[in-house]
Amino acid sequence: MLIQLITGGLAIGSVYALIALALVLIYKGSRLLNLAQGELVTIAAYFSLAILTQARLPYLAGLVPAVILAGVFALIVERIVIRPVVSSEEWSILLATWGVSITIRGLIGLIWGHEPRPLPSPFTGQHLHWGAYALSAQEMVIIVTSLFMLLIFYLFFKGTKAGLAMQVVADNQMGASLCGISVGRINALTWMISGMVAAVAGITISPIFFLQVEMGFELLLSAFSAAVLGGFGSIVGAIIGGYLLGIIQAVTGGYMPEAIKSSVPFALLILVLVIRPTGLFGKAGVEKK
Amino acid sequence: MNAPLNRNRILWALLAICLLLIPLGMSNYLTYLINLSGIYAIAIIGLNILMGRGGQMFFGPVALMAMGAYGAASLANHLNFPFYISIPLSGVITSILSLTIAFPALRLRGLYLAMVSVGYHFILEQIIGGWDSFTGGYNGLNLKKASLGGIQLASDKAFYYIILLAVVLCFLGARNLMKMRVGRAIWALGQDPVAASIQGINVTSYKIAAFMVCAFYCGISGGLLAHYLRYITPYHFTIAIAIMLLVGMIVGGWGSLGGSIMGGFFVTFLPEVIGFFKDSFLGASVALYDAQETISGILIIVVVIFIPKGLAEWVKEFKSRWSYHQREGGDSDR
Repeated sequence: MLIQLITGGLAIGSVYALIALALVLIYKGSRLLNLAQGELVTIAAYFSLAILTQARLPYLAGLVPAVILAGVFALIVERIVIRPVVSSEEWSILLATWGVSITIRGLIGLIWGHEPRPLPSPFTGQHLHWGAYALSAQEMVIIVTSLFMLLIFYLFFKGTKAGLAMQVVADNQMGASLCGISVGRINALTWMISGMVAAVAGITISPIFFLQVEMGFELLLSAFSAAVLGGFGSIVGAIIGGYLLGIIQAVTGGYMPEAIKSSVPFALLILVLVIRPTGLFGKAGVEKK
Repeated sequence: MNAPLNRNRILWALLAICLLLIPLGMSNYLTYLINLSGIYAIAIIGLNILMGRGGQMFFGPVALMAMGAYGAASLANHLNFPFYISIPLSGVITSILSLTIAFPALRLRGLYLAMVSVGYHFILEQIIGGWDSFTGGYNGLNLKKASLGGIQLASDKAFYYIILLAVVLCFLGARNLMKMRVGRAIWALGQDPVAASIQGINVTSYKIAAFMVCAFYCGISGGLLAHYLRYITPYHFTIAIAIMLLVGMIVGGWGSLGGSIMGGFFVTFLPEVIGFFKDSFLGASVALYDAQETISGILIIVVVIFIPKGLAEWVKEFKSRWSYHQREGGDSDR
């Protein structure tokens, strides 16, 4: 029982981790909270639905074009909406991202409608047997895919020039532009990567939870809690916070009434912010703006 | 003996007469929309004091509205309070209950407060949904008809005057409050808390004061909503409405009280206007809700990019241009 709960928690936790990573990346790059991150997850899942049903590709092969499409979509959003407002005040950027979020939700409703749809996956309902335990195959796919994604991201971040430039921009924008890094271009790249990371989360989770217009917002809130748990602004913290939140949620959901499960992220969020606002990995003294 | 009748005074008198006569020539539905706009405008005024002036990113005004609504409902149902007592009292109750978010908020800034207040909203929504014996859960709660001196006030038009009075009182109250010590202190801490504390402003207590004022307004708005609709459910207090109020505030004008009222009308009428034009422009097969969401989303983006200061600033600009031309005309006469 506990093992199944924990693997389930790890699966949902890796989804939180990916979305929290996307949130933190954008936050570090341009000091803004992207309220549309959840909808970028949703639309990626719908892209994959369209690709899988129209092109009849196998599940894992259909994942790649959907992720790329989601990245391009995030790039367009950055160019059209975010760049014109990026130098204005905090709340107006926040509101602009909220506008993006509503627009995407409306568009998804217009195109695909509101009834929950399953994303076909060959792993749904399959189980891996390991000793006495039966583990859901789709959950394993989520865990493995997200670990793979994190590995790619790590290699990109540490090993390429663009990744290095992203770190520099996150550290000091002025210094970065003095070194000849185009901050605008790096921010666009950050958005694209965030879109792609979130897309993997959306596409892998959708076979378990049905595709729904509203799924993104809930994921966003949980991912934000995860990011705060890890210390908002820390990439490692976001990932670990995501896994932790997933496990905590699954275990409390398993032993306590189901209704409590959805309050866990918020309760945790308020607890962390009141007791240790810097989270697990945050640096003390960082301006909490 | 009499003060000179200047143009401003005539305009105000005309406005007052128009406001009093408006419902006579209107359909019930239009009156309903205007009433709703007024109710939301009150909540937006409160939000504007906390966010626009106080600089606190608070996303939970609808949680406060819900407290006010359920507070007013239980006062009216269990204690038989008339509406003109239960509504102001619900404002007071809400401002006391708002301490539950004001204290955690003292440690939070910016985005953190924003997300915690979203969490606060969801927790409250679950409490309302789950506490069947008090709130009626998702089945909702019915209220008796409001009555004044034995006359039942049930029609939209009767409530129009109640809401009009409430909006006017709330607006004037907020305007005066903002000119008082409290209002200026709240404004100062919204500009820069550090600079404010150097000026001798007690940041902690004025932050709490800002929350309580906002909660008072939201509570009144919720109480009015409960008495007006006479049926409240958790569905009347969703996060979507909180965001709607936020949009109204920003569209009206960040920190502008007059803009808050415009914002209330904007968010209430926008979906109606979109619905009105939808069939001719998009075709009848397009789902109304989605069309409204898409178009309002795009409009939010457009407003943030192109009129970041809000409608109030527009009106001010227009007015100053107009009075400038008037004065010029007067000069040439001389």
